[in-house]
Amino acid sequence: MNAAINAARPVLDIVGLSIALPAGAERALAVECASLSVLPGQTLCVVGESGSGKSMIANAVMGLLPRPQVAPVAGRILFEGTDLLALSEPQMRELRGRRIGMVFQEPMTALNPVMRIGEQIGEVFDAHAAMLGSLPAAEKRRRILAALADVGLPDPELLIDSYPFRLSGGQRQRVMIACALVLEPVLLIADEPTTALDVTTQAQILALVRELQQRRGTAVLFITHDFGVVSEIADQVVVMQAGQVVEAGPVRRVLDAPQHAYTRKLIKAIPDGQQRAAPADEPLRVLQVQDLCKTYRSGNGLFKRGRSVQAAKDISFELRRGQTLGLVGESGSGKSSVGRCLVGLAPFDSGRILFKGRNLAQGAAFRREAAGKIQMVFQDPYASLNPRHRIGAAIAGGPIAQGVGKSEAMARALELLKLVGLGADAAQRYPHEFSGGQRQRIGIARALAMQPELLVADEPVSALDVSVQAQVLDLFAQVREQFQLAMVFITHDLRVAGQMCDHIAVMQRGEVVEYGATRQVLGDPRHAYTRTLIEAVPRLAAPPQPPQQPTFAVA
Amino acid sequence: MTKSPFWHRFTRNKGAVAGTAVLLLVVAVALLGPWIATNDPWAMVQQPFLRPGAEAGFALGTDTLGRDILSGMIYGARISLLIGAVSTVVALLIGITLGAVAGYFGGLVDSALMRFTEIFQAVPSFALAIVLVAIFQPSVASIVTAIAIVSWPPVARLVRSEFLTLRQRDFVQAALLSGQSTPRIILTQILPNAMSPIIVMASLMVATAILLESSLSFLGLGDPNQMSWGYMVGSARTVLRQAWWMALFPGLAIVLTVLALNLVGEGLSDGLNTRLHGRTK
Repeated sequence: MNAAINAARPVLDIVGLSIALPAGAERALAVECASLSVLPGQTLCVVGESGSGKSMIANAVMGLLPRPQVAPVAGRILFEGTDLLALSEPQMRELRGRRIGMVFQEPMTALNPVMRIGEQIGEVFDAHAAMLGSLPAAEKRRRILAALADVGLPDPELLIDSYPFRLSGGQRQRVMIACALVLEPVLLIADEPTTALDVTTQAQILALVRELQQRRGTAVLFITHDFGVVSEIADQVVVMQAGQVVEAGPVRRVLDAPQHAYTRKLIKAIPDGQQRAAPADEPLRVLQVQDLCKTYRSGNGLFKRGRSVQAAKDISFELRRGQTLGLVGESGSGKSSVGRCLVGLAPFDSGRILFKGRNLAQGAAFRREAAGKIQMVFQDPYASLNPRHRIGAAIAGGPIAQGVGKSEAMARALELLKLVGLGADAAQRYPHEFSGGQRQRIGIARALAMQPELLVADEPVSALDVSVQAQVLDLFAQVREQFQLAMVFITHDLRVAGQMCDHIAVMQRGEVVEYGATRQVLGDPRHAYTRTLIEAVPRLAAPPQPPQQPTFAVA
Repeated sequence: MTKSPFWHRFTRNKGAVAGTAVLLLVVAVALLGPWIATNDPWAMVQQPFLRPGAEAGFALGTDTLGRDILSGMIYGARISLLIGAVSTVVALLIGITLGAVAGYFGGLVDSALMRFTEIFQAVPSFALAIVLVAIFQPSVASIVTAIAIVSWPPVARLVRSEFLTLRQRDFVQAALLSGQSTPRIILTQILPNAMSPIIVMASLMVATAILLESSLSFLGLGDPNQMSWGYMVGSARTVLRQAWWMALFPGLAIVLTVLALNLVGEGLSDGLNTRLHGRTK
């Protein structure tokens, strides 16, 4: 992070790289004439939405492209002056792991489940035994232990002999980082390493990467879709859109004064947590939840007692017409289980759910009494639509089941498609013809077709790109006003919750640890866990610590 | 789903195209049988043990009683395909119903139905078929019933496993929330998504059914009024060393038809593999 480094030769210099896609793909080139360079000791973030070609660049550097279908057709990838594209596979193999390390997105699948942690890291030494000379076993073990300690894992002596299933997602990602860095490569490529992690874990991993980099001077090529993460970790930023580099520069310049319209659009789309004006207090309580308890039991056999996990412990809240409650928490906090209990898709153990003052029974009777007035919008837009049904039929199916005439239901479906911003011709098409964001709109239209009074949205935007996410959130806000909907909005993203919700309930291990008005919860959190969550959110604003690099120092 | 990607994937499999051609030929012969065949398959029209091509009009020769082998094979195609198709349809009806109910409702219903299925799987299927046909007197109806009864358990297991995963999908949950009835959800939401593996399995089941029917006929448990390939092979086995053609040609017909059905099944499984269809990756 000092100016002297800038004069150094870049570790990685990509010049005019183009990568061709197979014929019939949506565009001819996955990456078109991209140039970027990573300086020693610096972090370059490549940021873009899904399909922008950012991961292709990482894979091209590592020589992991699925050739010959996807192959580089032009340009050079200079790593310490050698063109990686001209190297043979054995030569590449020598570089991988020793000179270039890589960390992947999904820590849960990146480790071999039947190999001990120590053996997996040890493989890196074995693979490069020809170059390094084989290490004595004791020396190898010592270096593996050092590597594990280096990435901040507790009890390396214990971990080295355990299997991956004992480790949490964050710990596995630390092991992956230890694996990638054990031979002290000069370049680390990280492809969305924190996307699959909870926000507090993400903050820890980002801090770790930053700390290791400063200590060792490793150059980092960091791929992400999240501008918050960019702001936390990057020195330089490259913004990609549809395979092209649209903007590049030092991080503060790009974030504070973006030049390109696309960058501006992406930054504007980030939920800013700006709170909406609270609606007038409606007298009608749509939903009251009292002391809701839910325990999952698994593996209960004839001869053994199963494990039980309490997903909800004495949950209570209420919701009035036109209001939105945010259920916020990390994965495993029980927020989705509560959501499923609310719509009657999962039975609960004790407690009461009152819908418009009426106590709802359990199971199928719950759904019969609710008569479709409680609807849900699901997380995965790809799984929530029946691939064999046309869109129109999918939306009209619910009302028809409730006894609405066929033609009337279809007419309503067309109206709703227009309302959610899709044309009437969408009714005749199948789900696979639509993008993720469009499918989520269809999911909203399907829920609205039942003329619901309560809408439970389970992470409805977490699978979407940030610009699409903003549009879908706008749509939610619009239909909430239009239909005076009461909404339960389940999310892990505090920024989204702040923007959408009037009240927020923060959940941790099945319990609501904090519940109150959005302004109070986010502005003046009482519970330590809420504060941890808020602090862990990657922020766009410049970090407050003083050694700030002047924006003009880097050319 | 449009037709073209299916045909593209199906026709890329050369074996499947060849299989389809053979199968179409067999179906055509079966349909047009009475007009193609020159003789009644049971009539003794020439001297026995006539070699193939020895006499005009008897391209494949005659059998031990002087019956025309070619005509027998043409009529045999009718009965083989009929029994193969009908018994498969019956087996599918039983298997899909039980499998769907077991997979959809789960729990006790599932356990009960699966234990019931296992009773049938525990008995060797060919032995059970022999017993059933022997009890009911050999006839087309009893053979179809026997074959259907021994071949539905794998269908039930397949459909159950498909239903177990599909019923967890969000679109099924959404249908539940909108108040759609259980039969409606099973038939319109889940079953269409489980059809691909069922169709593939059905094509292979037709092949197995033809083999089963041939084996039953070979043992003399075929319908006595219907000429079938298995019966022809069976009646020729005593004179195999003197008259190779009597067993060879019907045997070849069985092999080719079953092979064709297997190839078509494989092609269908390629063609219907739309699991990733429409997904971005």
